[in-house]
Amino acid sequence: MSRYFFYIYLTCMFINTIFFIPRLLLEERFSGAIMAMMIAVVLGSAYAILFMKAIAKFPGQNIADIFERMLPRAIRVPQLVFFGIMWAISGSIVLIAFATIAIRFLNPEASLTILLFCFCGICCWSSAHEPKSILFVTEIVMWLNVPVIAYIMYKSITSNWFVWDAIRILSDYTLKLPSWKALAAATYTFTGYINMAVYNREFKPAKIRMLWLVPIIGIVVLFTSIIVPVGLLGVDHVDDYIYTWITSADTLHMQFGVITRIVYLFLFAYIGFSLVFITLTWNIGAKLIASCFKKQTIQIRKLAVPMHLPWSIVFAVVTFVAGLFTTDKMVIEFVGQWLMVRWAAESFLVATIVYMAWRSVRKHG
Amino acid sequence: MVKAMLGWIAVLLLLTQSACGFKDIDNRFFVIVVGIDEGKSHPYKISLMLAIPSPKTEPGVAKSVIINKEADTIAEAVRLMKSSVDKELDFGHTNVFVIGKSFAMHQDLSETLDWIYRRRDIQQISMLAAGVPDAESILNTKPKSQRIPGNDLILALSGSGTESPYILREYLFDFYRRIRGNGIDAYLPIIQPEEDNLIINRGLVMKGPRASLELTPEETACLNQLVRGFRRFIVKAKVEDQYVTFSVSKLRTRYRFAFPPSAPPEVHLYVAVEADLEDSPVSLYHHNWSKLEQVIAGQIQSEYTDLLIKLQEKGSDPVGFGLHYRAVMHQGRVEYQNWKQLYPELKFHVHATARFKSTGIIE
Repeated sequence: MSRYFFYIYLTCMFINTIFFIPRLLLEERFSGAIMAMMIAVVLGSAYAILFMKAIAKFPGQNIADIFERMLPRAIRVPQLVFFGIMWAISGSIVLIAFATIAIRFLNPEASLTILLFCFCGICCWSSAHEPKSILFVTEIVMWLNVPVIAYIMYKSITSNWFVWDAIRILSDYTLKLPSWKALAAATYTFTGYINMAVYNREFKPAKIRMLWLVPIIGIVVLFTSIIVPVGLLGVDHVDDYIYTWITSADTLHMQFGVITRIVYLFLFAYIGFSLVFITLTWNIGAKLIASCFKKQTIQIRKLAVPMHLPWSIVFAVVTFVAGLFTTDKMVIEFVGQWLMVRWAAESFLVATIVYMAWRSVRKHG
Repeated sequence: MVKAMLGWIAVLLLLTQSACGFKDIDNRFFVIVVGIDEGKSHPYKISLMLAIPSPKTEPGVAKSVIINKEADTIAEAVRLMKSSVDKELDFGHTNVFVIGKSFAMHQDLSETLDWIYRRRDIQQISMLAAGVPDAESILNTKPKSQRIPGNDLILALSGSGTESPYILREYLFDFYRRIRGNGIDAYLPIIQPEEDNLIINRGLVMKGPRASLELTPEETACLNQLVRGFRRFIVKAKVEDQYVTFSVSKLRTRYRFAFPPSAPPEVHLYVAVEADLEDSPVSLYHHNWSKLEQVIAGQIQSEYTDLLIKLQEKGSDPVGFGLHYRAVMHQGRVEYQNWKQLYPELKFHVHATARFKSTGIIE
């Protein structure tokens, strides 16, 4: 079962290192982004390992179950709703970002309304499934896409046009104090583990093996995601590009491939990751909010609808409307602010679970 | 019941696909080459080579249309041209941008080509070149061997056809980082029409955002070795008062800075080649091979030194010594300011070593 943990962890990592994090970090590359990344490796892995050790004390339970035992309803419900909304937002921003990217790079004449409608519809439908099936689909997408991503990474690092001098220039700016924003952005890379807050219920023997892989994978993916754009797009103006990674992938080509432009291969792989990521986060968000209710199913005539389906629909509708009205700049600025709130919330959740695990161990021995 | 209804909804959704803005390939004009010149009455004169799809791909039958327009911005010119053709212009397959030489000389290319950098449908791996006398005449030249419109330019520039040491290659993303970044300058291959053929054997080196220096074919080959590590080149040297040509099969260049106290900083460039004899009127098999190696090394050394000094005099740095200086020093932002003062007084020391491998299949 450990592998499912790593699939979730990797999905989050791949998504986050492409969409907003490189852009936010590269904006501050001369003022502390590198230090932020190094601190993030330590903090992120520490969070992940602490959280996993703590939640292992509650086999087969998610945070809703844990909170139910430990907290009164008046404190529990607002917390669960808040966390549910945070999870939903993390999926929604990826959905809006990917819809914009698809319009920009795949078919500029397509209508945003229909594209958003399709994305929201698909993700709403898939996120209404049970966690087990979502974990299985994550596995399939992972095995389909990781070879593609690995190939693209290999291609970019070994590209003749990769300038290592640019990376060495960046190393001068290591010892700078990072901003909170950069720190929040860099730690987001490691956030994948937090999904176990809900999916822990599926892991009956809750022990996850090989947790030491967490920092190693983190270092490799996080640093690659910063080094490759700098090496390919130049150190001075890499932040000119809004879709940093898409442009980086566009600088590579396969002379004898079926398609010359690697960027399409890249987009293909990332459609899969994005849909899985949105499914994961919306499912968790909906589950958390649904767990505030006593009834777990709603009876509509003969059909028993699970309680989290209506919430998936709400997320989809809100995202659809938000997607229609936001601009590129609004999304990026929102993400910058949201990441800091997210970091605070994540720290709070980790601290709560660790405290509860400690208390329950003390109580039950 | 519910499932069937959902199924019908999915089918009905397919009908909305017409709104995805798909345009049939028959209704598109693919722009293969874009030419950018200075206009007579407006700042820009844009020429587009549009491919006409044809069922036959035989040499010499490639059909294309060239249209051009003058306007105040590139975007405006393109919009104006859209109304002069019957199909939608598609830049997704644009592979080559030819910039007129006088445009490159007089205009700030980091700003005036903004349309190319900004458009999302233009490939980062499209190639740039300079056209002599102007870009339009390059587009109008049609080599007899051409099978697909514009393909001759693409084959030559991308290296998938001919592989010549005299053809520099510059991709859009590389041009952008060179022209806007500090410590490295951009370069362009120069294309010149001659009757039905296009000759690409010179290079145009930028200083900052403007073109500053035109290189001879020999210097272009030398620059190609330095910046791209292009290794299929020849060395022509005099042995016993006759011209002897060696072909190089392996090349390794690397350089490092040296900072002697109370003297200008130095660049030590190490060039190592492996060469075969390709053309010689005298038999060299029984000659002293280590002497030949010295001859090759001496020739390479003088070629490299000449080019580097010429570039330095113009203040242009396509090799990226400045970038390397910024990489090896650890001073932060002042590095580049220091470098600008250092570069004119830099001393170049080229250390060439050659290994002579064979005389071919005859002595």
